[in-house]
Parts: sequence; C-alpha cells; structure tokens
Amino acid sequence: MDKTEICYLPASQLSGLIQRKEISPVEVVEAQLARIEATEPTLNSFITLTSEQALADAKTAEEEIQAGKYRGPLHGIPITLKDLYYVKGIRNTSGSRIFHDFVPDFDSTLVTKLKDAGTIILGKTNTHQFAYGITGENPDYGDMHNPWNPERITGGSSGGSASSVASGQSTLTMGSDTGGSIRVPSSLCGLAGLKPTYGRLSRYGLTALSWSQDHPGPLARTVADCALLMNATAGHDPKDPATRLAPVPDYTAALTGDLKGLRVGVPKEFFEAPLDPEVERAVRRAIDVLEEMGALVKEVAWPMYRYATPIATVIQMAEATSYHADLVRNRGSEYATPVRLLLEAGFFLSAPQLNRAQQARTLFVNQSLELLEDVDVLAGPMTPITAHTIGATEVTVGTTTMTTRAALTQYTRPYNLSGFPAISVPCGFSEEGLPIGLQLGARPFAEETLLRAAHAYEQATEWHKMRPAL
Amino acid sequence: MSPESSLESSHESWLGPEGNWDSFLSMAREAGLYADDAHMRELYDYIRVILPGLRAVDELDLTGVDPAMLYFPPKELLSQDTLEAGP
Repeated sequence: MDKTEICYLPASQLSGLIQRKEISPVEVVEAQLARIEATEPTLNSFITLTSEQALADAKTAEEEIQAGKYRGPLHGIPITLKDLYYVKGIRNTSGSRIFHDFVPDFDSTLVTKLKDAGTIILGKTNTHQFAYGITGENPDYGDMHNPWNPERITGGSSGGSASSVASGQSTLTMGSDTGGSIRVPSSLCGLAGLKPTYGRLSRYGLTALSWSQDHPGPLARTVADCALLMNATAGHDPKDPATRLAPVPDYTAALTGDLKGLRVGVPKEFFEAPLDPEVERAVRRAIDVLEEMGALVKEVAWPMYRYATPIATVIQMAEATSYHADLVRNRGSEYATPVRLLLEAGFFLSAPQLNRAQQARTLFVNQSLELLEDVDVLAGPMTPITAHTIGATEVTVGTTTMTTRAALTQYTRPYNLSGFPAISVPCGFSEEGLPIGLQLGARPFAEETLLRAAHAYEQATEWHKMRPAL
Repeated sequence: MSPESSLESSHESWLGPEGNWDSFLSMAREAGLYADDAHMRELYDYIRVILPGLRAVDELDLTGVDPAMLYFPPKELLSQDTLEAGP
C-alpha cells in the first residue's frame, strides 16, 4: 500500500489490517514519520517529536500482535498528544518556553489509558501558549499552519493536534477544550472533534487553564475514530474529583447510521449572530441533510445563549489568573503579550463579580437542560468564519468587524460553560477551499447521541474524505 | 449591541474604578503587578476594553439563584446513587 494512503487511513480501518497482520505497526509509524519529515517544515505541528521511542513502541506492538496478544482496536495505532498531556520522561512545555525543560515524572491518567490500549505516541503537539488562545499562534515555538492553506490559522488552542491529523502526520490525536480548543481547530482543519461532557474524561496530569471548563477530548478524521478514542479514555478517575462513576458505554455501538426520529433543534440565535453567508449556506444545507435522513428538525429559542460568552469569560479569567498568578507576576515578560494581558486582566475582577457569574451559570445550565428536554440535539455553525490569515487580530463577519477571538468562540462557549458535550463535523468547503464545520450539542453524558448523529451525517456526505494538497 | 460583540469592542460607558489611571495603578500594585510604564499603559487600555463587556452578566435577575458549585464533597460522604448521578 502507498505510504500516503497508510497515513490517511482512519484507525477504524487500520486496526483491522494490523489485527490481521496485513500491515505492521512499524510500517505505519515509519510512513507517518516520513510524512512528518516532509510536511513539518510547512505545518509546525510538533513541539517535541518522539521518533525513536515511537519506533521502539511500534516494534513492541508488532511482537505482541505476532504473539497473539492483540489488545484491541487502538493497538499499534499512532497518536499525537497536545503538549499539556503529561507523559513520563517526555518534556511538557504547555506551549511556553517557561516550561521548555519541564519533564513530568508520571503519566496523566489519559496517557496511561492510551498506553494500555496500545497506541503509539509520535510526539507532543504545538499549542497556543498555555492553551489560552483560539488561533494557534505561538511566538515561542512558532505558529501552527493550516494544512488546507498554510497561510491560514489552524485554530487553537489544539492547533498542532489538528494539523497533525488533517495532514496525515498522525492517525489520531488528543486535545483539550476550555473555550472551543478542540472544536474550533477541528472545524478549521476539516476534522471531527468531540468535547465530551465535563467529568467524562479525567483531567489528571493535564496542565490546567480553567478548572471548571477544561475538557480533554479526541480529534480525528472520522467520527468512528473519535468513538474509538472515547472507548479507550472515558471513565471515572479517583485522581480527578470531577469525573463521574457513570458507566462507560461502547461508543462505537452508537454508530448505527440511523437518524429516524432524532429531534434536532436549531437555535435561532445562532443565525442572528454575525455569520459568514458562505458558512451559513453550508450549515443550513447540512441541517437539511439531517432532515432528509429522518431527523425531526425545528427552530428553537435559547435566550440565554447571548450571555454564555460574558459568563464563561469571567469564570475563565478568574480561574486562569488564579492558576498563573505567581508566574505572571514574576515572569510576565516571558508570556506572549495577548496571553499576559488576559492573565493580568483577571486580577481586576472582583469576588462578587465571579460569584454573580457562577449564579448566572446556574441559570444558563437550567435553561439549557429545559431546552434539551424538547430536543435531542442542538445544531448550528461551529465557527462563523473559515480559517483567517495568520496574524490577523480582527475579522469582518458579514457586516460586523470583531476580534478574531470573539468570532471564533462565538458558538463554543455555551458548552464549556454548561459542561454539556458538543462535536464538530465537517460540512463543506468555502470557495477558497477551506473547511466548514457543523456543531452538534446534547445533554450531559449523551455522547452516544452526538456520535450517532455526527457519524450518520458524515457517512451521508463526502467531506471527511477530502485531503489537503500537501 | 449583543454581549458577544460588545465584549471587546466598546468601553465608552464603563465607569468602574479601573477607569481612572491612578486607581488602576494602585490596584495593579496591590495585585503585585509591576512592569515598565509602556506595558502598564497597554494593560490599562486592555482592561478598559475587555472588562466592560463582561458586565452583561449584571443584566440578569439572579435573585434566589445559588452559584454553580465548584466544591466537590468528599466521596466517602456520598451515597452510590449520588455519585452516579449526572451534573
């Protein structure tokens, strides 16, 4: 098989070839390391490559499989990890030179699970500094570049993760999402990306940004691959007090392709916000496809949607500044200026202001739960624009000029604030050839519903089969 | 103007204590923030843009509403049913 074809095979197909010993994990890793060598000068997906260890791990996987010790569908499958997932013995920079030489002496819980499942770690991916940004621009380790057009942003903060999978450098990746950092780069790079329910995946051993809004989760080229990663990583962790004891289902069993009777709500507020007409057309067409497949689609109202951004921002600023307080006081000049300003601004919030935001959060969650009694899924745009040029600080969306951060997080915040799950799935391309994403959200712990809907849509369309011309 | 679009776009109506340079500088020192004058000026301008947009939260009637809890009770004090419940 052609090496590029190997690089682009989804894990759901690659695993069968590996299990049947038709392809070796060593061949897969060698193909992807060659792909990385060829494309990394353009993309800058990685902060740390672990090539030698990856080849050694692939050899071990090959020997285990040859000996009949097949661990399951992720055995021998390459993966990259956002550079805030602690891996024992591998440096963890969190995207900042301040931690350039920090080497954890333990694995995060998710890394332990991924190692147990037999994945092969190719390296640690580039991220917006401390995950505190939505574009994927990083002055310390260089900007991340979108595989569909390297002059455009990947989106962030899990930008290196997204570019590594979208370009075939890796089969799978894991990111984190505090204000859209899985879903936005997934959308801008043409991937499926799932932000699970808060408490579904352990945060233990991941660099924190905003404790109550940080969500680890998968990005992949297909929804089925996201389901495989959920099977391997979801579940209670005694080291993370936020995780729940709720049983973990087999997420791949949810991928039935059937949408008949699924109740889909389309919040009218999504389309009253600034929105590029090209994105709107693609998203409305995607919602039509859901309806043609048997979903029951109707417009709904989500009046508190407009408050999600200010509420979530107060909480995020307070929590992030608490986490970074000493460091930003003492080494502020070593932060990227936009990150430093956000962290320093957090010192000017008051305690009553934070408490009011937490009260407002209660209202927001209650209204969202009521809305999701009437429908199973909420559908809308993932981002109001496609990937903008690297370095831009403002964009014009329709007739509105706004900051890139305000634009790119316009649809993400409600699900970080509530902790409800949401997924981005490709739903088209702009005339410039840039990916467009459809966002689906659901009630807490309804990841199966989201995966079922996203997978059915994906299989009814061809968007996930497109590849960037790299 | 929606809270989203006003978040980082307007500070004309903001009359908070940080609206005054001297009180801003005093608060910054209290918080332990020391930097060159150019950076402090940049921070001053920044918070005058970003903080007013956050006050959209004040539009909401929060009477009788408990804050979302960040406190996790020790698990040994909870029943299994409680532990298994969703958020």
